[in-house]
Amino acid sequence: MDACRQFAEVERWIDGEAAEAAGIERHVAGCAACAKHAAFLRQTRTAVAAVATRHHISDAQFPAFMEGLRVEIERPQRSWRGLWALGSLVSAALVAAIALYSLVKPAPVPVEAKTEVELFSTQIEGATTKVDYSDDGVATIWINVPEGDMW
Amino acid sequence: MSLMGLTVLIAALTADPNQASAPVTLSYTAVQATNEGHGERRFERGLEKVQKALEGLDFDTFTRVASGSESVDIGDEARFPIDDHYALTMSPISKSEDGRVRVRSRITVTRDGKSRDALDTTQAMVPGKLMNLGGLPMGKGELVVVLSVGK
Repeated sequence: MDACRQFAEVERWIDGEAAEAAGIERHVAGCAACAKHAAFLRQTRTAVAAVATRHHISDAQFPAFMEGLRVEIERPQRSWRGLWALGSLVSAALVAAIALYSLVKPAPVPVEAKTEVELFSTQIEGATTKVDYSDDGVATIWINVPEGDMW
Repeated sequence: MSLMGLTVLIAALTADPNQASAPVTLSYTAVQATNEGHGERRFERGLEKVQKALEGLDFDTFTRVASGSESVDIGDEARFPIDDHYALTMSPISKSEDGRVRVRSRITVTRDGKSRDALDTTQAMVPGKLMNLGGLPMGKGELVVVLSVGK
């Protein structure tokens, strides 16, 4: 783009701040670069003004506006990404639940369990055996060998 | 987390520490029990851990002969020599859901190259609880073997 030393003055003229407005206007009419620059500045002002335009919602429209917001906020988001996230969440919860269970589950040995003698025998002829259980749960298998003779 | 990783993690967390394949610690203390006429029970130093199991027996003097422990898998056996004549063999058979361990225990006696089962027993033992096998002649007293399985 061609440049002109009068660009700054042209910008002030577009903004309505030029001291010699009539002189700048004549210059722009005869200078292609300044005319192009002035056109660009006017387009920019128009665009900025359009963005800055505020739409006003009347009191009558306000309930419908809020209902529209609510509907959009509460609309379920169906997407594969959401399903994967949900699956990961369920898996994490499952692992956490199992870990917690394994930590807090009671020990398998019951408090009331007692030692129980199921079978007992001897190859010593004439010997007799018996089983006793003490009050504190100690089991004793006792063999009586006749006169201490095992052979 | 991959499905395989999740599966491995769940399997690790839900693994039962008392599963049947876990080794079992078997312990024994062999004691010579005699009556010396002390009027009070005397326990040789080193018998503190099994004293409670011996207190109900009709002897006043308890002398340590041998002791030991070994961890073995279910189905295997541990052999403990007691003295020149007696030996103890223990074999964990299975673990029950209540935490007890079924153990076969045999005291064999050997003389002049001949061996026989002086006492052959099977019992469901509570881990940490004591039990006695006794009555076999030993010197001027009798042999008492205190058994336990590890918690």
